[in-house]
Amino acid sequence: MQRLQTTSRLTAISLGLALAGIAVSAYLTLVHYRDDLLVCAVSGCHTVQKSPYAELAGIPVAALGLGMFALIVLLGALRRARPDLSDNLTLAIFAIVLAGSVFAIYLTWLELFVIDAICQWCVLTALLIWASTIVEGTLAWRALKPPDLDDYEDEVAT
Amino acid sequence: MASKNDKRKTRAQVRAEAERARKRRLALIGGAVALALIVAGGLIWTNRDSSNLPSLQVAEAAAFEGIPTDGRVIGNPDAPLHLIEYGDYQCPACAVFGTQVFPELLSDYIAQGKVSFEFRDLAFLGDESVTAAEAAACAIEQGDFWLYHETIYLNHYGENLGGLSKSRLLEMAELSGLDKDAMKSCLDSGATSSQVQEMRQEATQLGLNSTPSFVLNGEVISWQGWDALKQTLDAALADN
Repeated sequence: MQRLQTTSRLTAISLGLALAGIAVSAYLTLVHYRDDLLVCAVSGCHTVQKSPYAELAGIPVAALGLGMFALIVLLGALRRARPDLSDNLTLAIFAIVLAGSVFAIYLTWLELFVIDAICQWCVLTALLIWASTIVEGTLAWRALKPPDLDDYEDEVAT
Repeated sequence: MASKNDKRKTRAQVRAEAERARKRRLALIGGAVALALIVAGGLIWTNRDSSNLPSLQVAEAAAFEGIPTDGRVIGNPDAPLHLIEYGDYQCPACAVFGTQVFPELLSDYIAQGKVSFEFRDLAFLGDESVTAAEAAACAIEQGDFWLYHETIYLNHYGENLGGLSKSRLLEMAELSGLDKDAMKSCLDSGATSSQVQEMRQEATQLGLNSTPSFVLNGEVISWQGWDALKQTLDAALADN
């Protein structure tokens, strides 16, 4: 029972992180095309947004993030609706956020050492992806955990 | 109740099942990690090609040989004309002036002792303009402004596209023979930022709102191309 409650709590956290991710990356996608809407507490947002690395094969990186978070919400909702598919969906979500997480490390490295500018919204997006990876990694580990041998042995002994 | 032998057999089966489940978990998670790394690697590989910044070039040091310099000022300190340019390192017209017009101004007027020339920053085109202006001011602290100044203009690349990022400005410093580490410390400390801001305020007080703008012997003159500037200089020299 405790295990189920924890899993339910973690899937809710994951969903919350992904919804926050949608909000931030949707804003970043918007300001990619509407520079005048960019609100920045630090000075580097404009530089990061206008850098050649802000697009990937013509698609804004922010739009890719938006697509990723939207997919996580979709698969996360399906996971709650279809417990029979839960393990496979958890594994799929984990693979997606892990890929996003590694890409976010690369983008943060670019900000710090190549572009030399920090965009607060990009940092926030990266933090959301990394947090999602931790949550989904924990869920994947728990979902695929083999049955406890002691429980089985107790059952056999009775 | 199961017999003792049946119980042992069942335990062995349960252990085997648990072992299979453990291996399955590791294989599935390992597969997910591998897939994620392949996808991320593909994204990174595609994105690293997004940067089409040209490789850096360095200006010719020989152009400045034998000409006296004092920080932002180059040329004979007693020259009859003192020409100040207010420029932005990201402004395309300034880059054209710096790379195409300035060499002629240098050889025909500055090296001849007729004009002393000063570059001052009106850094208004964004973050990279300010960083470049601060870096150039840091070069003065190392005693060699002009080669670095010309090198920045030689590597002009759009506005806020990473062409004048801090890392590229540091590379330019190294190419220009400056101490890259000292440049980095200077930039990181913000030692020259107030100087750059003051120059911008000064330009605003002079009523300048575009770059390049020029001030000849205290009088603002509009930039209408090299021929017009030459005529203005020649006329001013004739008056002196």
